[in-house]
Amino acid sequence: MSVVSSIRPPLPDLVTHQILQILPTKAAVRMSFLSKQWDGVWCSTPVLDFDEGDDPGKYDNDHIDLNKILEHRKFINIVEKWLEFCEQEQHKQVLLNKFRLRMMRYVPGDYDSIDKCLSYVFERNVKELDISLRISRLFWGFSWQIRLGFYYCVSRTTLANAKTLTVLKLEYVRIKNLRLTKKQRRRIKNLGSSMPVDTRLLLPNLKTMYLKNVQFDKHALLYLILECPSIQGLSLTSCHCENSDDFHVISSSLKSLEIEHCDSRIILVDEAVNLESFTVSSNSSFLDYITLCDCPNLKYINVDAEHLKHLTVSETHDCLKATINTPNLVTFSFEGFSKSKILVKAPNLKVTRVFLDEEVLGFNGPFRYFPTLRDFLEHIGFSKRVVLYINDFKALLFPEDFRKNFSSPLYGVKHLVVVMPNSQKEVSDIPEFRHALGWMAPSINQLSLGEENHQQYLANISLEGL
Amino acid sequence: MSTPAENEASIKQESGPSGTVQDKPKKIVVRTGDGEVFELKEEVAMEMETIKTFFMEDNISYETVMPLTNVDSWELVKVIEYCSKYVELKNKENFHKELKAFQDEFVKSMSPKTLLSLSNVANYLEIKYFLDFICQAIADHIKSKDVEYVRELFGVENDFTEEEYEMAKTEAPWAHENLDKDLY
Repeated sequence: MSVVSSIRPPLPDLVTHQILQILPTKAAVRMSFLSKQWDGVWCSTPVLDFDEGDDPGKYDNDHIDLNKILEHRKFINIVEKWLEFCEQEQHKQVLLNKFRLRMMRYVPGDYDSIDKCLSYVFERNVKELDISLRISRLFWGFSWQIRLGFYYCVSRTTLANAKTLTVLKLEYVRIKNLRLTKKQRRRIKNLGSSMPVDTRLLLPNLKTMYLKNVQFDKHALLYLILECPSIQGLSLTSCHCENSDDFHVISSSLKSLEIEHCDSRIILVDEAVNLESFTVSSNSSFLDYITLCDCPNLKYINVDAEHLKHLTVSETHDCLKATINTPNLVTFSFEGFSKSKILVKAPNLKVTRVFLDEEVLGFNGPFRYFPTLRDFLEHIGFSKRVVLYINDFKALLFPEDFRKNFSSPLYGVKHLVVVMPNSQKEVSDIPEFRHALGWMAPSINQLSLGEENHQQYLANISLEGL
Repeated sequence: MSTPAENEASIKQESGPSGTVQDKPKKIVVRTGDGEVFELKEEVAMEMETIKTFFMEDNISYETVMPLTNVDSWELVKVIEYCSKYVELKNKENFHKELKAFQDEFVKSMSPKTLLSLSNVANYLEIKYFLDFICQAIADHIKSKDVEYVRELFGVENDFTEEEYEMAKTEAPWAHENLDKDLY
């Protein structure tokens, strides 16, 4: 008869070690005091998370208090202790996957520690980096300009060694213009151009970037993205640019772009051949213009911008789905295909410009084409003045049968302009065409037919008797 | 009168244990520390490195009953439960989702001491994914507990002096804030 053991054997060291290694950093630091054997085990984990602020209530009511300053200093000491531990030779080979540092009481005096930290984690080929350096409440009383001076600056030097990064999250930092100066470019050229361009870029492996409460120097965003040839996802939240500058994005690899509550005046996305999704959400009174062009894979657009005045969307995917909520939009220009589903909520819209790219014949025949075109025009053509740019007058030649059975798509339009290539000057004489237009926009009091480039040839057609 | 074909079939069935009886799934027999005997499906048993090595290395016949002296029967029941489920879900499409749901149920009513016992067993039987899972469950449990609690739980002897500990606490207040004011 065997005896059931009632004394539990002690936990094997291997198991304890494994448990300590997967604990979040804060708990792991605490467990250094389990016994001397386990002191410092936490330093060799591949995931470090130093979060000064996981108790948010504590920091919002910060008063200027020496104790608080001391506490912050102690927090940094723990990080530095980790650095010291890692500097030791035998620990240099330990894998470092993710490093997160979040401060709630950052002061300019911490600058050097941050530099040291970043320089170290890059040396260790870290893959994911998350840095958030909220300024101490001590400085909240100062003017915005002065506070800006306290922010930690990310420059070319900071990221010089960051080639292994795949995910980067930055919050409450300032990003300088990373563009190489003429002098720097000359120096690189002189070193010999045997190096392929990509290796000279700062972040060749970066796939995703999240920037929040980041301050951009002039053109900083543009040049930052140009350093990321493989970036797929970019998210900007509450970012500011110097002098309410433009947010200009050029990236051939970017798939998804999200901009929330940023205060740039213009958002321009250009040559984003792989961009599939574009989202903007903003009640900033600064945002005036959004322009998207040359994004042939863009399938999804969502714009919710209270003060936006002008929106241009061109050269997108033919299956585009766009939801636009812009109460103060004045002009909307769209170039694309009538297959796109465009929903616009813009009661004060003055002018809509539509460039129809498709060929009637190349569209599975007129059978599909006209109903789709009719629906498309109905959704997009509700402002008082609509300008249609077409390649061929046949594009609007809605057949009689169709016209009899379907209602007019542009019933609210008062002024319609149809622009066609020069060769189609005489088209206004074709009765079918006049009938089609008359049906399309029955309430207009002005119709202009014009040439490409300039509406020189204008004919005010009488639509009586239709 | 049985036909020759039938005779052959019945002979096949009666052939010795090490004979190739293809239609019967192989079973491995183990005996736990508290004397109970368990029959495991071969595919489940082979998930445990310790058992696998025992039978594979020296080509020991499956007839042998393997002794697992450090494992209690209730522990083995739990291990079998987990490994069987894992093997079942392994090649399915929703593997991760379904495994997560199963994992949540599995640890739902387990006490920390139970988890520790299981981690011991997982280590002894060398089942990596089970050990990873149990360690994660234990880590989740202790992450907001203080050092004394964990020492008691793990059975670690404290070799810090009172002063050393107090000093360490004041040097790193960040690590000691917001803990569960919990019971043992």
